[in-house]
Amino acid sequence: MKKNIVWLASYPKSGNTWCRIFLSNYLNKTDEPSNINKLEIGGIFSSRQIIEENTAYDISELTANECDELRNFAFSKWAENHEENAFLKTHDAYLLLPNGENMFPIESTKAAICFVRNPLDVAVSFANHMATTPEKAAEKMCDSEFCLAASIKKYNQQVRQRLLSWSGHINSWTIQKEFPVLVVRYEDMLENPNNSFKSILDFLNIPFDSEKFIKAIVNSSFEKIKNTEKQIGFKEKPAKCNSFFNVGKSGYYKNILSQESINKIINEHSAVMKKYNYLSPSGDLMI
Amino acid sequence: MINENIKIVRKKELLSSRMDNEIVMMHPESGKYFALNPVASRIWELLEEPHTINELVEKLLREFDVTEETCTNEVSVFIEEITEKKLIDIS
Amino acid sequence: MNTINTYTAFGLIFSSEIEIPEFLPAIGEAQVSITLGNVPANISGNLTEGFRFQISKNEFIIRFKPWASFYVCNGDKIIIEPEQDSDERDVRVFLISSVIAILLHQRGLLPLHASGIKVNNKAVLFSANSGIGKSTISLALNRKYGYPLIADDITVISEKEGRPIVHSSFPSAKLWQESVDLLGISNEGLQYIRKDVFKYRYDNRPDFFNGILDPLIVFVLENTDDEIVEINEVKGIEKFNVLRAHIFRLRMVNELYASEHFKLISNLLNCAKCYKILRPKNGNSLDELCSVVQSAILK
Repeated sequence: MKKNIVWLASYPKSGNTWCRIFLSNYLNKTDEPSNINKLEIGGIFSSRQIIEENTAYDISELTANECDELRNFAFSKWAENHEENAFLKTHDAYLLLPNGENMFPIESTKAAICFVRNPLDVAVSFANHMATTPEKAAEKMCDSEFCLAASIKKYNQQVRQRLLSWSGHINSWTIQKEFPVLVVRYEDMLENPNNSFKSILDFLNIPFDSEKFIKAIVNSSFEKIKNTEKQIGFKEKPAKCNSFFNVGKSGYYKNILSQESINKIINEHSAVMKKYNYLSPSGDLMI
Repeated sequence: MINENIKIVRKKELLSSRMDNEIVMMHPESGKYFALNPVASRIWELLEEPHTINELVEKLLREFDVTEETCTNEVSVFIEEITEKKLIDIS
Repeated sequence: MNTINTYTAFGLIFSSEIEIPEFLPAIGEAQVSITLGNVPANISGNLTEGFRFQISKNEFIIRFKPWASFYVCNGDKIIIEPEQDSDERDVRVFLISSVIAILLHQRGLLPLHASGIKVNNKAVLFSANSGIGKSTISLALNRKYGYPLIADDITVISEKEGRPIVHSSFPSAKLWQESVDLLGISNEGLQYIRKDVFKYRYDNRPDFFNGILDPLIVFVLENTDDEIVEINEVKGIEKFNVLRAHIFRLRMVNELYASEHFKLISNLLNCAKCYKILRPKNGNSLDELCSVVQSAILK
């Protein structure tokens, strides 16, 4: 069995897609910027299509839990047909199935990259993403039962994903011992993309090519992809959300997020916020 | 390479069907479908009976508006292709 | 001894030890028996293994844990081994889709992933992947123009003397809440297809035609990011490929029945037109879709 899956794991709106656009630009063979709607960069762990294609089952007949049982088989088979560094984006928390078996195909896994962003900014960006208020988004980030694509009313291209709370999510990925994990802070990617993306390439033992690297950095700059979205749209954008690539700045929760929501997030997530320098050891906001 | 005196015939067990002016066939191993262009479709029909390359060219020249050179060329290329795909027998 | 029920669906007569209220009751000698019993641990001979299933040309085993296991052989026998505490709806959902589909393959028939309606004694089919709106379009056309329904999810094609025949399936549709809303159906009294799968089972007996028909048109529906409905006639090889992609459970049977499929698809396509319809992924395009289909039918 190939050990080639690289998980791109994150809570939503934490730089995951940005990194996929960078990797797609860095790894593709042409000089043209990657089409953001046809990213040639692996797959998505909640893709109904990949699960159905690799198991032959029709997921509409299955419960969300039964569907989770298919994912391990489906994605190890998917990985067999992919090269080294088969990237899989996921917002799922790193969880086992209720029966204790692995939901993630760890036998096929090489490593994971876990993206972390200031939860206060996540709340504002996530609110835009889900077309809801920052207060509601903040609440969801504190809810350990929170799931994406859990609607029972209609067909969904994505299967249900259990996220846990914001810190629960990060802990689930960073505490597991099955494969190595590199944690990348969104704020570091903003401040010094060269360093962050270089550290990802090094972590995965992907050879460094400075000419390609510079091109990929330019082609995946926030302004550039935001413009592209304006011109041609982005198919991963939820229907109700105005634009997927929103503001992207660090600290833009200030003036938007209510003090109540700020306090709620800090109370709930202070340990992980301290660990990743969003809170000082004495509990002061760092951003 | 098929010698011009050898008669060739299409494999009996192959499935093909005429659809909107082209022959659609099923590849015996992969089960995938592929189509033949009009000239190739006609060759395929003729190959229900054994033919040499020259006999094929002769018949095609009567039906299609092409020069002998082009025709011979096209027939050779097509025969080579279907030989490679193991779609014909040597009679 | 269990009570034996007799039903008809897909042009076949079934005798069944379990009740299948979705099927139409029938009389006559059964061609297929559905019994409760032990499912063998393995099938013999040249088999392919998938996720919780095994398949060969004449045999099939699938284990839908924790509900039931099924064994299908020779196109005339289905054995169900329910697990303890299994819900009968859970058992039936798999029985009347995947399991019966494999039986139909074993009989050398062509089960298409398609819904269908009857138009002037001919069959009009809507083929699509799950979630595109097969059930909804058939039901909407039924409501709008009165065309009787012939199938919701699986339409069977067979042949007689080289002529294709379309068989009606059974009078029951599976609908998401979204479709129920779109069609203006009251969901009062509707049951979910399974205890924990929130899709409705909708009985459409009064609007159902049971029997065989000549094919008229196959519409293949796909989603598009564009905002208008687009229709194009499909010709030649493309026609074959789009239909092959909509063979029901093709990924389970792969090439086992490739020759049977090829012959039946050629027969079908020699007699039926084929159109591809692209429909907007977002928003409600059902009315527009109905008009586009209706004008193609009347053409």
